[in-house]
Amino acid sequence: MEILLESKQLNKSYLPGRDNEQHVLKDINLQIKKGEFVSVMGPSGSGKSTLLYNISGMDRMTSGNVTYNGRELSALPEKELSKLRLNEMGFIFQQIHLLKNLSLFDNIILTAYLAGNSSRKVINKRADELMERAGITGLGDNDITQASGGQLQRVGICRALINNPGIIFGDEPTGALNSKAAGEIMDILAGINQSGTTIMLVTHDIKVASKTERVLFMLDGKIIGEKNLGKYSAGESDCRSRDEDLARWLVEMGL
Amino acid sequence: MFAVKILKKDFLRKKSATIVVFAFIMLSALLVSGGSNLIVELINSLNTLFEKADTPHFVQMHAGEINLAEIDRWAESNTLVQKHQSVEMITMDGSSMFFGENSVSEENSIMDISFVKQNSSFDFLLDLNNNLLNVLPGNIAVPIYYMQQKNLKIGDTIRIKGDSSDITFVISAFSRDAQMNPAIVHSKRFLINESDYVLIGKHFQGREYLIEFILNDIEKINEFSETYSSSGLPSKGPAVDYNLFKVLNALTDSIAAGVIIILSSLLMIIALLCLRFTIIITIEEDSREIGVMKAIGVSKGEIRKIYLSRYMLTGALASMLGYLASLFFNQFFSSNIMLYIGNAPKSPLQQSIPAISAFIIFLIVTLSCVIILRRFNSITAIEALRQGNTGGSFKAEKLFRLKKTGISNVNIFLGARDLLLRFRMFGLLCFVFFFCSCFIIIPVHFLNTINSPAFIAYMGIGRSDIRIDLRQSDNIAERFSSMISRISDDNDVHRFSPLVTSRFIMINGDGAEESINIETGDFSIFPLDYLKGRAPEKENEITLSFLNSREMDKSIDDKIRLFVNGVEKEMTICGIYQDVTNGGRTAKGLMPYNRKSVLWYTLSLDLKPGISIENKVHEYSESFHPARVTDLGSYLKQTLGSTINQLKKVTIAASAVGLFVSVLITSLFLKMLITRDSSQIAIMKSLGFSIHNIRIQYLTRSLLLLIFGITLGTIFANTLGESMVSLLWSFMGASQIRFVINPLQAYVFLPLILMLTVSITTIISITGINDTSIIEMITE
Repeated sequence: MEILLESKQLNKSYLPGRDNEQHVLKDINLQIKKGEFVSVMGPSGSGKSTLLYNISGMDRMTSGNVTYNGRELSALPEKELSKLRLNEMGFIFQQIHLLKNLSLFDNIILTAYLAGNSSRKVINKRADELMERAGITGLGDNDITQASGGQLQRVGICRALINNPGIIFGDEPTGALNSKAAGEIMDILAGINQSGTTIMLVTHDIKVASKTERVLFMLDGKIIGEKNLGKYSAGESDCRSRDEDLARWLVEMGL
Repeated sequence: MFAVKILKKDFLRKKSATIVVFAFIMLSALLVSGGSNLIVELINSLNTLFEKADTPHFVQMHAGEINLAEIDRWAESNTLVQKHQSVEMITMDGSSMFFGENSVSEENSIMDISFVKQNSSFDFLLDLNNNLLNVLPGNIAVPIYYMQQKNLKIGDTIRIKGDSSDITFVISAFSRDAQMNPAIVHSKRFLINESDYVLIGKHFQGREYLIEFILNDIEKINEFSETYSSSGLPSKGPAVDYNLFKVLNALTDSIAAGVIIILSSLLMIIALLCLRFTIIITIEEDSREIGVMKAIGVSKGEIRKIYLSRYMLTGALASMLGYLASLFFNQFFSSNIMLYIGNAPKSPLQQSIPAISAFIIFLIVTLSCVIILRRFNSITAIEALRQGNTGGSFKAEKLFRLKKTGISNVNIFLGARDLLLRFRMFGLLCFVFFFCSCFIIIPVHFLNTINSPAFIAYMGIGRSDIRIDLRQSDNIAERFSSMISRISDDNDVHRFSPLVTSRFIMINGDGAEESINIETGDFSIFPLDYLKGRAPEKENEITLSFLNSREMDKSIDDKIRLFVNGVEKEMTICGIYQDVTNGGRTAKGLMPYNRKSVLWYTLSLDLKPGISIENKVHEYSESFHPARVTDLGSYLKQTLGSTINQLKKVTIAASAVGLFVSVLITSLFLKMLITRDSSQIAIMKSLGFSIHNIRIQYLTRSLLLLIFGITLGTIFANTLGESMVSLLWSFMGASQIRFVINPLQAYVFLPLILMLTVSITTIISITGINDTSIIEMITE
């Protein structure tokens, strides 16, 4: 399969050159193929989220390089990076981060209107379809104080998908949700992945990670192991064996 | 010490906002202290000057023959008079006078120059220490006006060149003249030694007299003035009294004091608005903290006290510093007073007035804080904890949805939508833009108006090609009639109208006699614009200037009683016009003029088509010397020249202040706004909005507010602004000023300049968006 995202010798330090320098990512070499569903696990402070934001170009790495679809991210100016995020990447955050003064529907269509790649009619139709797929049809006119955490996260997913991105990055997308809502969100993401969208997410939750295809384990700024679980199909009945398989591996990893 | 710690913490947290609020309070305290000090200083110094100079209570200027014995007899028999004297002055044409090595004479000067010796009884000329001046032979004491205008120094020379003489004086002192100090008084006295006076008197024949009186009771000036004018004593020239001397001396400085105080009030309003904005933002930022405090049982009053103490401390320090700064700036504010009027010791009360003014500023700031902090009453602990805001900020509106908008640019939509949703907060900036545009537009409009030929409507004259003014000189009547016959024979002249201004006696409302200057002639040839009514058509009709009609409390069809050729006649008022010349108190009629008290002659004329006005002005200037021959434009320029120049300076200063305040407040406001919006900006950036996109959103906010502010400001300037200017000028004689608006300037250039300034300020002020990132939000 074609490589979509690749990092070589990726390093990230806070306060570089000072006495209190923090070396958070250490020589990370990683490849993510098109259509893959990858999760990153590890204890708190191991550098999972930092890896996600550096590899996605949201944060500037200290050294090394990252290529996305053949383009070197560190060589891109801020404007090009914005364009890349707008058109080719989607982000899902734990805190969701919707714009406070827009309705749920407007939050979803905002970046598509900004990108202007399709007509507004087409965008509105696509937003309706995405909302239907995410199970939030009819909530579009609500504002963000009129929806539950699970509903808001579904809006976040719709927003991430509206521009048909090549890859979706998720930073603990289910972290603030109960287990039922988390399961539903993962089913949605698995469905999206099945339709060809690459997904990379960071999580603490075994049940979330077990639904991804490949699990990376990080410790002290390094990827120290990875586990291939194979594709998961949304709504699969026997998740238990995937969960157990992953749990055993994590114990081996020292978690 | 604790309070200082809080302030320090607050300052470090919100540096730019604190500095701006602090600066505004300090600046308004500085200006209010400075302005009040200026007023105190002015009153105090003026009293001292008038005391030391022993200024006369009533002065009749007279150009012509004088019978000293007759005046003495009259004065001695008048019980109102305490002292009197008749001061002879040698008048000199500007063309005879040369300052320093200058080879150009004072020919074009608007000042009437005269030479005097020091008086012995009263009306003394003083030196710069307010001591009596004594000048040695060969020396001269020069009015301060010339010292400033010509940049003269002690030791410089003045050359007087007559037909048969050439005398040089050395400047040994500069003189303060309680009567003629101010630049707006167009007569200046040069003091020389008695022997030199005799010498100059032999070579220069021009004489004028100041017939001066000191009264037993200064309250009876009006009564005395009426008695004098009905006495038949010399009166070829204006009569001036003590009160007018004071007003004339104080005018320049009291206008300055007024402007300073108005400016400081406006700055204070802005300071208070900034303070309100800062407090609201601070409370919103601290709302979680406030929620916690409320939840653990801290009372509203106590929370309010914590916040109030912060702002009281800022207010107290800023006002104090403003007051202290005013002590240094006072010299700058009052330098003009020091020079023209002199310094005088102040009483402790007078010294404390500026400090009291600064304290009042502090009180106003504190009171405003108390009012703003009432907001605490409406926040509950849960609200503050849950929402993290104190209400009223973000609210999704059902209307104005992105899905339904017709605005194609998402960034413009977001900026405009935010503006509508949070208009209460943006009100501050809108008010500032409104205020600044008024501040710029009104003076610009007025400058245009006063510069335009249409201003003639406010000067009590009709429109004509050329105007000839003949003031007091020898054989004035003969000169005037020969001028008329020459002009009536001139084939180039299409039509002309001779007018004579002379003094009449009228019976005022109290039944007392009063003098009034009336211009007589045919006013249908060059008609005036009338506020009410029309030109006089019969001999028993009269038109009054606006100020005269207001002071006499007379309107159209009212009657006044007037002595014409010694016979009392009833005149009907048939028109009222605006006139800012001659103190605004003029009248016009068809009756024969009063030959005994002619003040001046004028002649207006139109040339036939194709005749060069310029050439004719030149021709007449030569033939009718020393009459002043001007075309309409030059007449306006010469009469209003200094006012126009001053107004130009005011306009430039007002525009600079307007732009400066817009820049300052825009940058303060936006800096605070992007701090407040940082989370939303970070989210947008993470979604792929570029810096450029976000910049457009903020530019949209600023420019929409600016356009709204400018529109309101323009409407205000063109309506109420016009009325305000009219009100101000009604004291000078013009009560219905209509702005002459230059549309290109007012509606294109000024808004463009403001827009450009605000856009640049916006772009610079929001550079903080570059550093905002979702990473920081997440790590927080």
